[in-house]
Amino acid sequence: MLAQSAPLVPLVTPSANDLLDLLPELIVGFGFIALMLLDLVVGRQRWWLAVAAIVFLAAGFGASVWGWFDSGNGHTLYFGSFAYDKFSMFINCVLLFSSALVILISPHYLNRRGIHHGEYYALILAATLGMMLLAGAMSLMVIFLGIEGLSLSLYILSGFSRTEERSQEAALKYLLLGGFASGFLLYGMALVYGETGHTQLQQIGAALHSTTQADPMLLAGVVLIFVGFAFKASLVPFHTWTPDVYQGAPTSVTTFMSVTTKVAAFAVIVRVFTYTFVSLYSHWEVIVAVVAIASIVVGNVAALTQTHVKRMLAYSSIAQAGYILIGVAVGTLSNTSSSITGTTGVLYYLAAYAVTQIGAFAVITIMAGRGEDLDSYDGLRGLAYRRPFVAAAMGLFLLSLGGFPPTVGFFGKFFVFAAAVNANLTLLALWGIAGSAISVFYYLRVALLMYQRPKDEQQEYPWSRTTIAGGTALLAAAAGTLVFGILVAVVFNGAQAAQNAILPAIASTR
Amino acid sequence: MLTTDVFPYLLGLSAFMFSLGAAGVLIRRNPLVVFMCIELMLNAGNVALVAYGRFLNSQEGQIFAFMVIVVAAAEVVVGLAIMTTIFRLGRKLDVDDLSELNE
Amino acid sequence: MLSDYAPILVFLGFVLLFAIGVPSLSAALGPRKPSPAKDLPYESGIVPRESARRRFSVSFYVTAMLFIIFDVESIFLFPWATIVRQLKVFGIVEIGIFIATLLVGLLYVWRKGALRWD
Repeated sequence: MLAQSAPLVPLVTPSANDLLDLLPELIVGFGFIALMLLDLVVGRQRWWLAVAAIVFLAAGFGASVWGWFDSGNGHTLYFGSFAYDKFSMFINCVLLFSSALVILISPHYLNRRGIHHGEYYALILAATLGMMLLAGAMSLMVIFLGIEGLSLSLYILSGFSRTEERSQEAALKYLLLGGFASGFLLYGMALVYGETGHTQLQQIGAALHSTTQADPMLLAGVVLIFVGFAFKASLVPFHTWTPDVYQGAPTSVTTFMSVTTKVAAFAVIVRVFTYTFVSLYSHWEVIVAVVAIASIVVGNVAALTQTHVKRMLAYSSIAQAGYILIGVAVGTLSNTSSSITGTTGVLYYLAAYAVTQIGAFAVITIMAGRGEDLDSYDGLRGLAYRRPFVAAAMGLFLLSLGGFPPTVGFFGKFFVFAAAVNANLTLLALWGIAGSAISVFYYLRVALLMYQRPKDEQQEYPWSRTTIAGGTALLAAAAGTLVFGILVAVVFNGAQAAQNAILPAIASTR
Repeated sequence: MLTTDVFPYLLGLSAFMFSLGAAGVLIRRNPLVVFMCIELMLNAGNVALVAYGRFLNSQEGQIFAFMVIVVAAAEVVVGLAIMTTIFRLGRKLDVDDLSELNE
Repeated sequence: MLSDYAPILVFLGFVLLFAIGVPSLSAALGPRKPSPAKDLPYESGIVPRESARRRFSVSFYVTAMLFIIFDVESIFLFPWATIVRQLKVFGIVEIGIFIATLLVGLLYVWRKGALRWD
């Protein structure tokens, strides 16, 4: 007989409660498999798949809302590898709402582009599941699984238009650069695991807290992990794929990934950096702050020169990621008793960004012509005269992205910058404000174009009609942009509650 | 039996593999080769995970490596599928040619 | 301890003996009458018709991809198999769900016609 190298440990199987608390993820995961099977039987009636996808997403949303009230101060599932807290439920709600809006605008767009395949809905749900795993991940393994789950689905979705070179090129670019980033992420995780001896965030946090000096290998691991996350959140200098992929992918896919990937990536950045690597704050603060400033500058300056709305929104989303990262750079610092912390700001901003960005891309999706996107600035000229409601909605989204009150965009920026000022990082806030000032130019440029008189030769522009589903999605996004801006407290209190209950709890308070 | 003497070499090996992979991604032009370099980077992570796991006498590293192997296989399949589709569109595969989107 | 491995050593010895011995015996004793047909590469008795360096049907790639994915998924069975006795019913249910998920994938691939050759 071979010698047993390690003594057998008594096995503990997870309790059934763990499974129950995982309900939102289970519903979406089940929905993914069910949609794959449904695709085999529905034949040409593909809109059934959209209906089923929305039902699953709504059920997941309901389970998340229930989990919000049920989770209380939060606890971990599966021996500390998954979080059941208000933070993950907040993110889940944003993700599921965004996915549902994307599904609403998809069937009509896909039909017009001639790429209405059933896999689309299953893949959207698979990506959403990966993001939800990321939102609740409390272990490096789950983080890796979540990141890869969402990435693999998005690689396929970017190349969903199989006969179109631009789409395939976007997919290949995304795949190669995404894989590159995964390599960095994994190596960083291996180093952190090796230096702390744990893969679970709570234990990593505790191990870091008990050591006095940081090992260079550990710091290398932390930086590599940040590189991996920064790629997913498209932060400078890991943003180069963003404009090309956003432009080449089908617009409904761009809508989906520009919003949800960022939400999920920032959720995991907050959980890992702000709350787990908290005792290394002095080491990563500078890196994060520099990346935030670089993203704001590069994103805004590059957006100025664009002539297509999709590319402009891509660069603007890089800048938006920069603003959000300010909230991360603030960390848990606060010099007053003020309730606005970096994390609360990040959460509010993510919710605000989600409704606004979805709305802006939804307009482009809804307008799409047969077989091509009509997103050039020239194409938008005079939109307000033909499609007053769509143009008004687009104007609202642009104002919100630019940070005008009383939209959500204004309050998102306000909370993040206020958190920075609270933490004596006024310089960082000033960079953000300067960036926002630049951004007003290119947002207003598009808004003004829509309200210019159309040229005569442009009368027959092949804009698509607005369908009921598309109109509903636009209305929901517009309502979110306005209502959450006027009733700030609703989302803000939610963000604050989510921040207060986030796991892992900071080691110093224990 | 792995002893602490071997451990630095294993870590060195993984660091070497990682650097080789990263350099390959930046230098090589053929997407398939770039893709192989990415796999090399992931496997460097695997070597590090398993070596650390053995060194720390913890199982987590090995389990993590299992996950990575499966995820990497899935990535390979998606990658090959995308490249096959591009090939069928009649394009020569070269990352420098990917400039359709950069007008 | 080490003597447990003795049969393997003996086995290795026999393998080496046959692997080296038989071909060299045949080379030493066998008659040699070269002819053009005999110089052709041996391909299951069929004469090769063209170069192997040509474009393959996409079906090969699809099959290879499907093979990789289903092959690698089975890696999870190994750690499970080492503790299946201790896991009792839980282990069976858990792996049942895992394999059921794989079967759904297989069903999907099959119904979509990816397993058909032409």
